[in-house]
Amino acid sequence: MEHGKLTSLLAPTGTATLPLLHFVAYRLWWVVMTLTLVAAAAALWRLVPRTTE
Amino acid sequence: MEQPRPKAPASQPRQVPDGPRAAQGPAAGPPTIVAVLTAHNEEFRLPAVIASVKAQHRPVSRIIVIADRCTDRTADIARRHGCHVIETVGNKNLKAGALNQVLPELLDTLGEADLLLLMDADSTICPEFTTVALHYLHTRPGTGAIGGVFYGQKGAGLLGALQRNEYARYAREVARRKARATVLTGTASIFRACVLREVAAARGTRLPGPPGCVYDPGALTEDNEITLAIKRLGWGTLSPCSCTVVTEIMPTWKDFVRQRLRWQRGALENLRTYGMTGITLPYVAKQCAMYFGILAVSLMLFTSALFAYLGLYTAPRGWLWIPLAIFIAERIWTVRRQGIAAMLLAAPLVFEFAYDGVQQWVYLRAATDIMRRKNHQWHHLTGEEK
Repeated sequence: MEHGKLTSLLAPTGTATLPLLHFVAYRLWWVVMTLTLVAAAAALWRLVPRTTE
Repeated sequence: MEQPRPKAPASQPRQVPDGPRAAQGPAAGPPTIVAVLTAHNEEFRLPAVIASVKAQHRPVSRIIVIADRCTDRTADIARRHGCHVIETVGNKNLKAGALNQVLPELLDTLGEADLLLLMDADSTICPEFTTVALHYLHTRPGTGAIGGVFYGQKGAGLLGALQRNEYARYAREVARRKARATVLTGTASIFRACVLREVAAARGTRLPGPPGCVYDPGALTEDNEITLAIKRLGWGTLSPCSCTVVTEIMPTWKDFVRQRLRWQRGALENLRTYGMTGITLPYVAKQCAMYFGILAVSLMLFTSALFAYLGLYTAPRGWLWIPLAIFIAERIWTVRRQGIAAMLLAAPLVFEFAYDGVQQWVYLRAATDIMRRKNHQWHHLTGEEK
């Protein structure tokens, strides 16, 4: 996702007053989102019923 | 209050009554099951526990209550309910020490096929427990022990409800893993007598702990340790979902933190003692995943705080709702058998997130305590606290 799209998705009113912190925040956002998707996949797996339950 | 009586030396008659199959061979009739209940000031819960053992569809031959450093009427109540009572003497190694004072003698009286039901005197078992355990032990000869699947007793408000949800999810996970047990719970498990004899014989050589001891007195979590011991000796372990146990829950956050600190620290110390092997690898992987989870949550909180600081934080929108919806669905679905109250507690996520946060803090504390070589004291609830 491009920087502009991400900004519009999360914070359309955000202003780049602190460029370095913004840079760090958006990189971290990607890391957190990746981990969130992995956790969501694991949760989805736990939702699937098994015959042994 | 009863005074502890001195333990009989080996030359005197045994404290443990001779079992009916003591002189029998391995294949003489159905196995004898002996229930051993370890109690420390359990006068309030003990009658219900004994009743649950007596209510087994496949009855046990006898019930032995180990009164460990009791200062209440535990021993009296046990005798009144027809149990054989053994009072520990000078036990400094808590539950493992109490069991080690009784089991070696008791095992000498049991045949190869006989079984021991080892229980905490604060937990009740379902009436099918021994029947199901016997079925699995009969059909799966490589299984050395059958553990219970524990659920939390009622009460203790919000904290109690959170613990019950956690236990219910653990029970579901065990069932999904086809009853493969991570830990043979100390609340109630059935062991082959021959396996426990093998464990005692292997202590000091193939297994950690003093020679001749069934349980390692140095282990904070003796149930986790004996699970690893049994697996190292080549036996399998199972926790069938029908072998249910209802056990005590911690009534206060302070008790809860103490309990979990002991569990986590015990688990880490057991892994350090056993080292990296094919048996411990899944346990190590699980621990790594847990600590990685702490890192991930910390990163998420830090990033959220950073976004808030920068004025960028808004509510999720678009596809970002999908993971959130999955999390909510998973939390609710996995406790659905506990009823509507459990589902309502799980739905907002925040309560269980905070509960997990406390546990994650405990995991970090346990790791740092080990690194700082800080001593840990076993915490036991008094009858009034339960």
